[in-house]
Amino acid sequence: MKKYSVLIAEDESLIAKLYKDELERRGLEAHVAPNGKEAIHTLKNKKFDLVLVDLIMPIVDGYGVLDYLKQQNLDCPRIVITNLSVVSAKQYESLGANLALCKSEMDADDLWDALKDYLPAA
Amino acid sequence: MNYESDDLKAQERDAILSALNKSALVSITDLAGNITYANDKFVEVSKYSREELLGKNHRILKSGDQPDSLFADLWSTVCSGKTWRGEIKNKAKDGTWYWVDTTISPILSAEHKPVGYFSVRFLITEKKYIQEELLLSKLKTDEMLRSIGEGVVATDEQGAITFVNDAFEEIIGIRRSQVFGKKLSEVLPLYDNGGQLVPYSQRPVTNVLSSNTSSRIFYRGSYERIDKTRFPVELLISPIRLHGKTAGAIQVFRNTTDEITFQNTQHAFITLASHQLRTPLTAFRLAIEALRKRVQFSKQENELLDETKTYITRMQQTINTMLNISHIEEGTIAPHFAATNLSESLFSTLHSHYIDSRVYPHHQFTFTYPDSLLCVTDTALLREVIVAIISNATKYSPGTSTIEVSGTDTGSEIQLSIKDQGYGIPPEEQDMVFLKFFRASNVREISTDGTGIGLYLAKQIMQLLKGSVTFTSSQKNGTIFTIHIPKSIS
Repeated sequence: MKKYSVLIAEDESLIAKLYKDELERRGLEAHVAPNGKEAIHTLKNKKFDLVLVDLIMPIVDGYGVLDYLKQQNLDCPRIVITNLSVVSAKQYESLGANLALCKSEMDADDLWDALKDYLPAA
Repeated sequence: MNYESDDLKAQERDAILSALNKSALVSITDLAGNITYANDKFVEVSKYSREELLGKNHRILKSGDQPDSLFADLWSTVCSGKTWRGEIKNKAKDGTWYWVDTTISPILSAEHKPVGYFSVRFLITEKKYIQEELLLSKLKTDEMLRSIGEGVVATDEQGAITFVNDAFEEIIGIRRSQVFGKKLSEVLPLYDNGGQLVPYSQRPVTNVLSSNTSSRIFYRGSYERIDKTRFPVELLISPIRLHGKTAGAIQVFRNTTDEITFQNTQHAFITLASHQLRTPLTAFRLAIEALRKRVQFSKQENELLDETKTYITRMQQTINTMLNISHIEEGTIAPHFAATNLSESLFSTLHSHYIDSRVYPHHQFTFTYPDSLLCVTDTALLREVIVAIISNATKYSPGTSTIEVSGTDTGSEIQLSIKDQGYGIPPEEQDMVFLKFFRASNVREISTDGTGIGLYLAKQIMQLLKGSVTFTSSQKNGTIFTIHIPKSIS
């Protein structure tokens, strides 16, 4: 069975680590980028099945990462994970994201429940 | 004169005199102004007896309130053989005053010299009184209009400016003399919130003038000053209705720049603060779950972790409420209405949230609902309303009590009710329940937890959803909140 790879662009190291642990526990390969610049750098060198993007990050923020994904026409699903208020569905749709999740409202299990539908069929 | 009166028959002359005596105060004086004749009405109004009047100088009726120049003009006119007419304030015998519209004609000799004076007076006290009242009311209105900070502009029924107040001049930076007679659109271009110029035909004042009803229009947009700078305004335009027709309009406006700046600062602060508060919450809750997956905890230890999670959830809800209110006041929440079956879309998630995840581990919850509760609403926003009301119920009822949530289709609407076994809301405070920052006095003593914004939020959201929230409460049986949801949106 193919091992899915997920990029976690998240600057809070504890949160990133706990997400990473959870995904690895479920048999995925997870890679953490602590800011947008590194996320873009990583995306240039490696193909991911799914990208989790925090919006507020140093150097280059999550909007920058989503812009990059849009420009490169990369078709991997992208999910916004943020603690900003997810007000309208339109906002994240216009950023090219498939979904937006509020981090403080979900456990690691909820994250898995939400993202598993976006992994490409095996 | 002589020719005319010679033409009259005796009966006709009698009729004239009779009508005159009924309607007017008639008197005759000699050249010095001493009264030689007074009709009944003159006697009655003056409150003197005829005997007291005859032979007295007309001066005894003078009020003394009018300038000497008026009487000088009167005497010089009649002495020169002409008729004088004017309004005179007289004083009756008892000191009360009355106003008379007075016409005095000299009685001329064959040589055309005055030999006496004939006067006819009509009572106009009431008219004078109304004039005074009008003047007083105008002075009051003028002073009010000068004192208020809102710009006020009046137009006639054609839309031409007839009045502006001091604040208008100050806010717009234009003198009133430059705007009279012009249309508002010539003086003050109006832009909608999208920055588009509103043509005269679509300006709110035009709508008010053409609708021919008494309804007012409230409008938000921007005005452009002569120097091309723009500022945000709120307008209220009211028609002036006279005899069932629109005779003009009054427009009151306010420069809202400072308010908007303040609101934006507030919203920016709330957005930033909630982000900063949510990040540690995320770490706490992830860490608790991660620990549970790695360590086998005892029952007691698990309960402690459950308690901790309750606090995380509570803080989470406070932040969400704050954000939702900020969005509602900012006007950035637009409901996404969709047809839904609330039994499936709402009750199942409520069940897992409150019963399976035990968000409030001490309270008992029951959910009662039929298979189908069809309506058109925004389920996510409706959920916020229920969460706010349930959160409210948990704070204001004993920890071990039951909260009953039920849904019913009444035929005309969907009703969701949340019943607690709480402390109730004191009757004298019940009309304040939905006010921002309101907390009932009986629960302020019991619990310090609570912000007083949850129910305010619930009401605001239900307005967006075209429904409402009501409640019944007693300090003995607790409170039932009922959410009313329309089945369709017209």
